[in-house]
Amino acid sequence: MGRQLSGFLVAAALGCWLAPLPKAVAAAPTTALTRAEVQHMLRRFSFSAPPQTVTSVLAQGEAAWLASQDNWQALDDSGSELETLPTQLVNGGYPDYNIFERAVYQHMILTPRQLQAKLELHWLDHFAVGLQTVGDPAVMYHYDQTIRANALGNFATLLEAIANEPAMMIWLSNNYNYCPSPNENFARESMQLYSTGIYQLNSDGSIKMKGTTPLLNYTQDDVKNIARAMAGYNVYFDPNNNDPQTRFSVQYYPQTNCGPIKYFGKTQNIPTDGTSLTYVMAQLAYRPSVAPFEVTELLQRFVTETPPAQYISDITAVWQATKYAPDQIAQVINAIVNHPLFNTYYRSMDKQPAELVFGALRQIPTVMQATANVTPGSSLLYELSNLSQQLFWPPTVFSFYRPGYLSQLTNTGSVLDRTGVFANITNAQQSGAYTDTYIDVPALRTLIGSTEGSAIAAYLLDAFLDGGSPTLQSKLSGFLGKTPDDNQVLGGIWLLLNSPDYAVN
Amino acid sequence: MLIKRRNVLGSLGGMAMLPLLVESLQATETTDTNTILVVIYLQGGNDGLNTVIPLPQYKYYYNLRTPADPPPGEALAYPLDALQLLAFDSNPSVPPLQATEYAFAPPMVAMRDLYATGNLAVIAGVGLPLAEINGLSHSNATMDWMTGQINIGLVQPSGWLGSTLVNVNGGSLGPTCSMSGNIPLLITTETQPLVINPPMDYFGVHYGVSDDGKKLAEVYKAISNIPALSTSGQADEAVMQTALTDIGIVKSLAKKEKAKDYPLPSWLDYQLRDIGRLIAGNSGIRGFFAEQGGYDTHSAQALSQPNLLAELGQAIVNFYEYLSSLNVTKNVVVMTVSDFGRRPNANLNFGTDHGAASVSFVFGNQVKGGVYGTYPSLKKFDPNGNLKVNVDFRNVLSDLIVAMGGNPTPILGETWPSLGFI
Repeated sequence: MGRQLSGFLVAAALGCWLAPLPKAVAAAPTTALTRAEVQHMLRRFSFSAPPQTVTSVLAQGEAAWLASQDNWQALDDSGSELETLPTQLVNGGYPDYNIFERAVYQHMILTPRQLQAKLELHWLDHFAVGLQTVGDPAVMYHYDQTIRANALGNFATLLEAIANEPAMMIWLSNNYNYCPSPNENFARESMQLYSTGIYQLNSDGSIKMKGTTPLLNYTQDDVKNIARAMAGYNVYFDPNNNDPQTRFSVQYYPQTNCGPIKYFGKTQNIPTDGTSLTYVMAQLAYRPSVAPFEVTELLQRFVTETPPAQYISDITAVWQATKYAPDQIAQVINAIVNHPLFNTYYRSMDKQPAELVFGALRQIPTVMQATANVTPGSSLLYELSNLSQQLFWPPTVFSFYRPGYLSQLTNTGSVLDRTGVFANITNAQQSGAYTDTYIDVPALRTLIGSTEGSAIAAYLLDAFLDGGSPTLQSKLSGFLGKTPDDNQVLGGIWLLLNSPDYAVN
Repeated sequence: MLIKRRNVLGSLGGMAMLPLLVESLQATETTDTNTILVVIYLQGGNDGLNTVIPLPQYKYYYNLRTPADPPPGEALAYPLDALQLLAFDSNPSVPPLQATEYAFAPPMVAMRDLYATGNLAVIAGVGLPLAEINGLSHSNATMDWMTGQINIGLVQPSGWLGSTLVNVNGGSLGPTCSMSGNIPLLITTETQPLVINPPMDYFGVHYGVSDDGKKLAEVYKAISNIPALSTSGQADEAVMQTALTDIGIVKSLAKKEKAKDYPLPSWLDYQLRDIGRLIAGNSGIRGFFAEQGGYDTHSAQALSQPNLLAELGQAIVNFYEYLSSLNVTKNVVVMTVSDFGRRPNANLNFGTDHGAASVSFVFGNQVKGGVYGTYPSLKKFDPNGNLKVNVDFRNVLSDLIVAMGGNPTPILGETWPSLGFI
């Protein structure tokens, strides 16, 4: 093999291993689903699923699964919180970052509200906020709870809620933003990253041009004036208050020296009662480019890094038609799944590091436990850190990668790093002092109902690789032998998790 | 001449000969005539005005950077007497207390030392041209600096450094390497760059448990050669194969040159140390990427940027001292780039928002020290109220591409006159 760059191959990756049947847009499929189609959908819209769940969804249909996930409040989530949050977030007077992060990761793996959890990851990427700046896990916990609660809701509501979060105020400097010299940070990114994008877009995601020049969604003067419109908010911290729910608060001070505020070509009547952030976000949420901008990013995260114009256009129409609906995002996701092109992207993009780790742990019996001391060692924090995707420590405002550039995360360093991460996971033992996660091999045998190597191989291949190739099946069975012991089973799991086909979605 | 490692590996019959191979490479002629460029990306948009301060414009600087009485420790404007200690002129031989033209920010003691060597070029007023229609966006600015193009929108072109080196035989490790853990656009071409997440000593396969570790390794090797079921899987497989090929060479270089006494106070030091080890080991790599984050200083800038600048200067000094101890500095050039500069005036968070012109540093034995470009006026700004860009960033890249033996015109899309710093 030469030093071929994966991105160039990924861009051409429209061919698929199986030939899925097309579906109608926004309508339940009328043809029988294949097991691989269900596995494809569950990889994209959950953190993968064990074989028995795939079988169940195959029987009930994707529409029924999506409907149950859309009605997430009805799914019992009580077993997914292993930590006692938020009371543990301030541990003996000091913020405890590890407990917060581990709790979120464990929740993403354990929760039956998988679609919500996957959208939570998407919005955490989209509205990336870092603990390195926010500083207090109690503030970040509040932020994550807001994202989770609105993940499948209405985009305008989500945007308004995010703007009013103390974590966002601190991250993008809208905290202590005063007239007459406002801080432009949040004003710029609230458009560029969070709503409209830089360029005016057509409904199919293409850039509107005037001659050879792209048209912009905002001017520098718009940025300045929107910053003035959103001035006056302060986040107050009381480090001596050990109650994570009350140690921070937001206060608003009406600004009297902003002068006339004019943006998007109009002089604006900005409220001075502490609702100006909500007022501005409500304007931004319905700007013309928001629908194709947000839809393109959803498709890039969930379907393909290079979505075709027709796919964007079709989903943009759904976004616009549901823009006032309280379950707008859920309806958009349903339309994405039901689109005729969805299944053509079977195994066509890389997994994010979080998907690699969480997916592995969801597909086989895994024990997760709350422990007071988890670093360093076999902990979820450690593994996500090793793969450079600790969710609450994004390196930039673009999060861990810019949509469309996921393949940059697959490189000579990362493919070797993940061998170490999967070694940690498969090596972890219940008796490990720092272990919060380990694979339960006896439970795996019980689930399969066999101690035979061939049965275990078949189960693992179905779980991780949709069956895998005959050559791979043969190699794995040969490795496991007739009745593999625990270490052999764990070795087999390590082998499959490091196979190239596991790394793609 | 540089030995083509891939060919040598084939003729020697595999990894078992690697220590000997490295030994032989050490004994052969090195890349004496070929420039090795190390790009350090200051992520977020470094505030050039608080990096190199124009002393004749101090009054304006002070006013712009003092929007109100600052909270303790958050003053942005450096006192004049502190600046005088690190002052410098266009002529690098003028000592600080006699210099009247510029000053490094007070924490940049190491950078001032580098300037005194006569091998540090300060490119003043550098940035994106007004023709870039959204140069104040991190995304656009980063794409521009990495590709040598402007207004590239949603296109994914190649990086200028990758394009410069695309026809260079860098040996089996390829011509480019990123130490940042991912692939920056700067070094993308149709070939897979080497990416290392330091320390390079851990670059390798880490096996899980099994009854027999040897058997696991054998099966892993066999599985890695089974064709993946999808095109994306095949792409992943290609990366894996490249990585597996690289392991032996990287590990041999790591063992050969341990750099045990290298000071490692910062993540940038880790990256530069391992770049230094690859250079010292004659890896054949000609383009390196490292990065330092934290320069997006919209608030409380005085609490972060001074530390970053001190860390940057010291990291470059550590890097060169290490290379000097091995007598391999001759071809090595380090440059710093950043998205953009900041606004002339500070905001009331005592931070600075996205602006235009900034400064870049280029250091190396081949570099003619001094100040290049015209420092922007602090009285008259560009149409957006920002520091005026007097040196188009592509002009700097053009000189570096030429120094590396490349032709800048097709890469940058136009021809630029030499600035003369290299």
